Amino acid sequence: MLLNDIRLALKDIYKDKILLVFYILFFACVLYTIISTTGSLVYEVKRPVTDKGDYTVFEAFLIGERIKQPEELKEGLAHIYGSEAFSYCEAGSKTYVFFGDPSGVYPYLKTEKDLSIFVGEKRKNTEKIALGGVDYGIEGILEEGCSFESLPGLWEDMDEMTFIVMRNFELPSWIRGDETEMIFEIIGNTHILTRKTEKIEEFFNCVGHDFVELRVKEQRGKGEELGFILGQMYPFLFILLLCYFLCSSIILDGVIKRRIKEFTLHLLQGARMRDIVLRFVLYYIFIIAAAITLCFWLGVADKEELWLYLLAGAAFITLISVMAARKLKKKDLNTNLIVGGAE
Amino acid sequence: MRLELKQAGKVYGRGMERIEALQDISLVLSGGDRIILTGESGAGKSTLLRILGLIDRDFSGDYLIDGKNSRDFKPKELQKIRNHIFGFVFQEYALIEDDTVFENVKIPLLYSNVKRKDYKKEIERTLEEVGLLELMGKQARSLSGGQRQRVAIARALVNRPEVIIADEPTASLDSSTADQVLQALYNYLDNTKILIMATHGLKGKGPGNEKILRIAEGSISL
Repeated sequence: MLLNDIRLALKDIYKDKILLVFYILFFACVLYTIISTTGSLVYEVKRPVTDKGDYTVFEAFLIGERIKQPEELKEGLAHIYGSEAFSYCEAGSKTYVFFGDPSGVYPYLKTEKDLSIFVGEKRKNTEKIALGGVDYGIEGILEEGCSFESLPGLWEDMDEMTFIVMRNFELPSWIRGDETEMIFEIIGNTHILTRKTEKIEEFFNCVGHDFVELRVKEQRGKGEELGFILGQMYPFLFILLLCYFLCSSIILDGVIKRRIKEFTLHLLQGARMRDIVLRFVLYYIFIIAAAITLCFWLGVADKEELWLYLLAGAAFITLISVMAARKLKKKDLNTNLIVGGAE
Repeated sequence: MRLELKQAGKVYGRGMERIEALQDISLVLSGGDRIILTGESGAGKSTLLRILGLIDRDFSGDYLIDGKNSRDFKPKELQKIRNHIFGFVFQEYALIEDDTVFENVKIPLLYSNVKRKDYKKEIERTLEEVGLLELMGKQARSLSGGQRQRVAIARALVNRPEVIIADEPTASLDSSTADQVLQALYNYLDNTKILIMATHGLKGKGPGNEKILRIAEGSISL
């Protein structure tokens, strides 16, 4: 009997092969919506920031052509980046130099050395890099696909990047370019890894008002991101899922109506309710499995979240089984033979 | 096989729209009985057949099948009765249009004890009895009314049931097709089988030894 039910389910799938394509795409969209919003939340929860939990970034506006006291400024910046702050500048094609300790925001760049080099996945075969005539070994390979948000212009392939982390702020000779421009860039890219006003004031005082005008751009923190996700993204997700659910119900009602006469006929010819429900369940297992497979193939699904997709699929299948069983469990099956069905 | 209906009644609708389709119907049927139910449209013939065929279990009164009340049947017993004991021929054929004649007649076999390898043999035998063997591979939607009705009869007979319930099997057929359809039904009967057939008026010959029951306004008279 079970084999018969499986055969009948496969026959149902074959009969509806074109409708099934649309159905699979529909579920893939639902899954993608759940994946992307859940992914944001998980990323924010897991992403480590500083122990204090917050950091501040700035906007810099050039107001002078020259730095009046460059050595003083550099000393001040060295003190700033010595603790609870870091910055960076571009040092050639696909190469960035960090000053200070960026690991609070970018844990992939954690190091105890004064100078460390990290390369992206695609450059993992590099053994050493020469800087100013000195060869340095590679400290670490960045995970494939790791992100460095807040670094402007870094939308290109992170896996080809080289990051040089220098714990002490000192403009090395091997970075080519105008010193004034570099310092302007470094000031603008500063991250203060605390909301303590004293540290931010120290930074403002260090920079002064002759060369650059500074403004706090953003104070980002775990709490704010989470607040945004929970306060805005999740209500949006809820509304979207409600719409998906309504669409599903309408589609389902149509599918059940189309099939109700056939299922009723089978019941009247000796099928049991579980035979019909099993056919339905197998039909939808196929759709949901295909949708999940499609999401994995497209690279939008994560193996670690497979349990979530399966849970969502199981919930949906339970719902539609209940809907179908309610329609079929009537005492008077004659109405099912009159409405809907194959004829 | 003994079927006993005791003071069965059926009401449709509620309040102002309440219709009493059947009132206090009592019947006893046993092997060899041939019952022809006649009456105007809306008299309650189909309602009575649906109760007898266990399609409609929402009625008042009692329906005993071999002494057991149908309300006490467990799902497995109900399944067995629908599959082995009863063969129902619906008024509007109730075929699955997208399926072939073979697939339609196969449905009762799926839930029987017949082995899968014997399906074809059983179906061919039954289709030959109704004169449709050559149409086995045709889709149901391509058949004429008379052919569809014979497929419906074949489906009802394939598991060799003891009780045949036919609801106006010749309703939309011309006389000669009606004769063919009825003959297919009568050929199956022997003195162990029960036939209950509803019709406006019997087209062609009866099965022989038939008892005619007239239904009017939900009640039966001989």
